Amino acid sequence: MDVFTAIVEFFQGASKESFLQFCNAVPLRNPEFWQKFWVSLWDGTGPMNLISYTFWVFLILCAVFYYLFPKKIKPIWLLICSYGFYLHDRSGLQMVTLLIGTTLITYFSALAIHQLKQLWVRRFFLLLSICTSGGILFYYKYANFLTQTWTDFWGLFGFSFRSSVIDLPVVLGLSFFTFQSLGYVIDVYQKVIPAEKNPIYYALYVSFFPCITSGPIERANHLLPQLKNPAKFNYSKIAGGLYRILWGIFKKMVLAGNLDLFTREVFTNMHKYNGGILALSALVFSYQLYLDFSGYCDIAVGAGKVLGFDLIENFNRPFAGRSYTQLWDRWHISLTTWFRDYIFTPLSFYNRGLTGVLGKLQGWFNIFIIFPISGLWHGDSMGYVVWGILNGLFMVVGKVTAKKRRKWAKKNPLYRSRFIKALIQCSCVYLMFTICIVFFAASYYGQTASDGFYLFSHLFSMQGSTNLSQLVFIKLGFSSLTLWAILIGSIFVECMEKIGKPEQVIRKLYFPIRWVIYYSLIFALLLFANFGASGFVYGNY
Amino acid sequence: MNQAKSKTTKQAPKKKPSHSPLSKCLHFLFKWAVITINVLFKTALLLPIPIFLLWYSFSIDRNGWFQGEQYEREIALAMLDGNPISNFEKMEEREIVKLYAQNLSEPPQAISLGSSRILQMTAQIAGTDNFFNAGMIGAEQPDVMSSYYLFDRAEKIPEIVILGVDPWIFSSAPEATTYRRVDWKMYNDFLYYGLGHQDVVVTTEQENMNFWLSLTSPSFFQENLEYYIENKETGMRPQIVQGDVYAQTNDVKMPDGSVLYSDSMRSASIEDVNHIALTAINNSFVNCEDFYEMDASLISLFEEFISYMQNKGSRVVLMLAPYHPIVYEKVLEQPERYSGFFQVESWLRNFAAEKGLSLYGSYDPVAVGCSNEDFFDGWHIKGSGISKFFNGISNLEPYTPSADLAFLPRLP
Repeated sequence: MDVFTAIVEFFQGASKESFLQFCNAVPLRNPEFWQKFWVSLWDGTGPMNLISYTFWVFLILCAVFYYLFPKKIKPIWLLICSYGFYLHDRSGLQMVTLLIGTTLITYFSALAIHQLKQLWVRRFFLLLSICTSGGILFYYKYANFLTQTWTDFWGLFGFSFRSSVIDLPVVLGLSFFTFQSLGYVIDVYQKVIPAEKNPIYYALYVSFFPCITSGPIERANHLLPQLKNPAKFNYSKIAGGLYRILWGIFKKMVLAGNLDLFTREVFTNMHKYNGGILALSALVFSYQLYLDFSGYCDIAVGAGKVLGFDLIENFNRPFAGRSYTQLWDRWHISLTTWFRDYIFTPLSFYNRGLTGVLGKLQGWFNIFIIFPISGLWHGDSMGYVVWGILNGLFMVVGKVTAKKRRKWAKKNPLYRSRFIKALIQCSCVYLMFTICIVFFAASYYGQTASDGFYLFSHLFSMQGSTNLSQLVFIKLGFSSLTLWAILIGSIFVECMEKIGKPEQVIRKLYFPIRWVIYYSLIFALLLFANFGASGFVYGNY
Repeated sequence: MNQAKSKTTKQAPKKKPSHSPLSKCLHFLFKWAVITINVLFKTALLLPIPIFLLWYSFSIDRNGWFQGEQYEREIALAMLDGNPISNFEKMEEREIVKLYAQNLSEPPQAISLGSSRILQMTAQIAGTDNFFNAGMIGAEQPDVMSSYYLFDRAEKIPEIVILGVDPWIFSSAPEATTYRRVDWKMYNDFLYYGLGHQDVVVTTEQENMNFWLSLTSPSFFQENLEYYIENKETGMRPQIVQGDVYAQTNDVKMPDGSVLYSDSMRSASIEDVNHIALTAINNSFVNCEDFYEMDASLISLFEEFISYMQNKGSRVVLMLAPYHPIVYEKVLEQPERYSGFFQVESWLRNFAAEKGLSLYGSYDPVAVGCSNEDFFDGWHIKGSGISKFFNGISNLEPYTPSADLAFLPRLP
């Protein structure tokens, strides 16, 4: 029996009496029920999950009062909500100190940079911001990693040091708000934007709750003007935002959530599975990561739209990219452009005098170095570093061989068909991305970089105690209907996103079709979502 | 075309029509009325979904919270007749214990109380046929106390109480005190009439609102859906096991109250169990997260409870069910995170010595000679594991620290 039959049978067996019995029993008029409901919403254990009733009620209340309040109160209200969101975790007090500290230092530094004219003073305040914000990020994310790496390194030469693990809390959104504030200071230094004088607007820019957990990393020249000129109530935009949230939840819970069950099992028990399953899990993880993170970004962008804001789009169908460069232009756009603007461009500018081989080498190095740094940004694990190095190498090799590949492409008979050409190019890009992602996945699932190498060395291994159907249907307990739901859901997502932004596409559809889609997505959530997987991959960073 | 263009460019800019304050006000009201109606209409369109979610879970009711006690009565009476029961997941365990105690013809010689970690204690291991295991899944402090009180109220005081002491009953952390399944009326009755806590309000009827909150959970809906699909054939009713009790695909509730896990769970390989244990502890140390300090009020309540049982004439045996070796090792690695947990066993040993109680087992599997093969998963020990440190009620001795040095747990 499948879930559809179960529901149909339920309605067949349902009677008016049973419904009335249910209606009479539900304690909606009991104040204790509502009291318990409110208490359960604010349990304070861990950060506020974007896929929870707590967040939805929080967002609705925030939006209702936001639209009711006069213009001057709106930013203060949003700031209170953003800090409230941050302080949902009972242990958030230490973390909020860091957030406030970073905000204050970058705020005053930017003001000083803007007001003062002497170059060395401006540079001093820029360095101060970089050192403090970067220092906080460095300490809280990499102190233990560096200590351990240092000890391991000298251990190779026979020296032994006693290194103790520092008990550091995981600071919510640390990587995101430090990058956002640093970007702002650099922009002020480069005179791209003037310094923001109103501390409320600036504090709100740094802590804006839809994007503080996992991005997108906003730019001051994009978000600050919106904060200063709040949008009026726009029904269509809010409805689109709510749909975008539903869209993100669908991608995260139904698609990524179920795929996570498969990849988690394989990546944490590699020795049990043969090369075919290992390869499949690596391929699946690439897509899962995309669905997971883009699903989160959909929720963040949707929440922003509900409040009348347009946040940066973080993804643009990355796997439709025909080259590795195109993929990275479409993947985690806010971080990629951050690295481009604040690391790649300054590096290229300072090395602009170099010519010849040295100039080329320098150019390649500038492209390469972004990726290991990006790897480190993702986490304090060697797996992320290896992931970054491989990506950097692929990008450089791509640049170096671009001309020759274009020449060969002209002679390739398969490329006469546009479809086959696109298929081959996208597949190659996906494959290359997957080769790198193996190390990312190993780190994400608590394994080491050597587990990534283990996967590659066992790709052609036939050993393994469990075959694919045993794993999928018996061990993980998937039904064939769930697999169909994942497959059809993925195709649906890709097709809809090819047409345009989900909230724009849906608003153009006829009312009945729109509501059929709403209902289908919600029922798919109820029937197939993996509710045990409500944490986001990028919530860790 | 050009002419038309020039014509349009020559036109004077249109003046905005001026509106009176009244028309402005009416326009504003009309605009918001349209928006409100629109929002209400769309909300009404969405409303069937949450109603269906709640109604479905309410009607299927896999935990037996809303559809009355008929299932529990069937189970209790069948168990009293000596029958093993399958398809019992829907039962309300507290109700079963109550009905069982009420319908007993004479007091049991021994009972065991605690969570699912004690449910493998059988009459055979206890060493008496007149035994009932009143353990409950996920039992918290109020559950354990209420269970004994049920026997007291039915005037069936057991001679011996094997009390499975889980560490979390001393934790005041949110996770350990969700009290989701607690029968508050029973617990308050116990505090008021049993322990004489005059500050407790004894209510006549109190609904457990947590059950209703569970209805709003989509994962609870999925559980009900799965339960319906799995149990449709049997009509979702408890059934007396026909044939070989050890060949069942589902868990079986034995006549002595213990649970016989399904064949697949009992025959799982050590590698699989190790994996399950590792995954479980990597996820969380159930009910012991954020447990940094034993709660003074819970300690005091525990002491009162022990004295109460002793005053009623029951001999109390403290039973510490070990954790899977992988779990215990992982917990040992994080002494600060689980500092409260590590305080419990030492405190219990001192307490047992002071009060002259018997104490068997240890949370540390190594201390009591248990290995990986003695476990079903990270938290649940097999009967064979219990037999390694407990020889039945005929050999009970008071706990003395000096005699028990070999069984002391590894502490950080």
